[in-house]
Amino acid sequence: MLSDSELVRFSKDGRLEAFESLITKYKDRVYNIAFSFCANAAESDDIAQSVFVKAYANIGSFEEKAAFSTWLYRITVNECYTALKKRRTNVLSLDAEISNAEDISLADILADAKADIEKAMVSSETQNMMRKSITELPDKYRIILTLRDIEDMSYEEISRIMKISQDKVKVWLFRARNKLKQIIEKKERK
Amino acid sequence: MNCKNFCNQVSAYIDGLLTPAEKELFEKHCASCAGCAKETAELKNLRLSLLSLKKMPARAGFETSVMAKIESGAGLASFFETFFRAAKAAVLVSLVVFGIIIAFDYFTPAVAQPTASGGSIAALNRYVLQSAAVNMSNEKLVTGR
Repeated sequence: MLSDSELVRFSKDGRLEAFESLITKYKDRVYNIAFSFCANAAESDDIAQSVFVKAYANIGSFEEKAAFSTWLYRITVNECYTALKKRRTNVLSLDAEISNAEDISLADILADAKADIEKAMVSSETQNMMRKSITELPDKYRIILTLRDIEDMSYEEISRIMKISQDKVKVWLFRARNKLKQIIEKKERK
Repeated sequence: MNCKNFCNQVSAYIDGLLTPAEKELFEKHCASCAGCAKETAELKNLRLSLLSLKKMPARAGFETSVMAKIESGAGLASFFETFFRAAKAAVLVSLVVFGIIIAFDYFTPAVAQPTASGGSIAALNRYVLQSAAVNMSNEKLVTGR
């Protein structure tokens, strides 16, 4: 199997099948980031497609100083921001995709001092509620939380993608998690 | 460690990025502070819940759609879109810089006599007006009128 840098080199030479392999490798992660960001299947699909089209259009200018994945996720973050700007002007309702129904209290899970990953597995309704809560965060917190807590990226990778220091990653992450906790608690109280 | 330091450390603790010494101090603080211990547990569980969110895969046929767009020249259109956006930004920046230079030039008093090779039109105009005023006052002194 070819490495990313080999596939990038072939793509730069105009070999479309090499770029298609890069799409196959990264499509799910790019789509998942977009979905965490906007919580809308159709919009996430548009964003993900746009990311790869832009990546192909600009692959000639990719200098390979960073990993291809970092460069691709950077494009993804930018496309998510652009989509959000468009959405704000179109005032698209999130409720079209996400149900408000909740049958398990997430507050119970959060309050469980001995929770582990299995206990933290939440029902699909609660997952929807969590995803909707994420979309209520300010943009920068939404993206940092997506990259760290959903995509499980390292602080170093996040700092390269978002072009901020690792100290800032730490601070924004703390604020994002706290803010999300407050949003969820507020929903649970309703 | 106090509660303020706790805020700076809690994310790193949850992510397992503290050194053993920092971790020990952190846990010691949590053992003596119920509020910080509760917050740590809640944030840790929140992270676990987020990690457990179902991964959303791209739909079947995604590659085909993207490749069709690339082959139809959408990639090129996207390149030109980026290029024109950058060009538009460059023109705007140039206009702003030009405006600042003109304003600076207009509001700055002329200090040196402009020469044929240097100096701006505004400075030249000011110099001509100043020279005319000096000539008129000199003429007044000579003629007494």
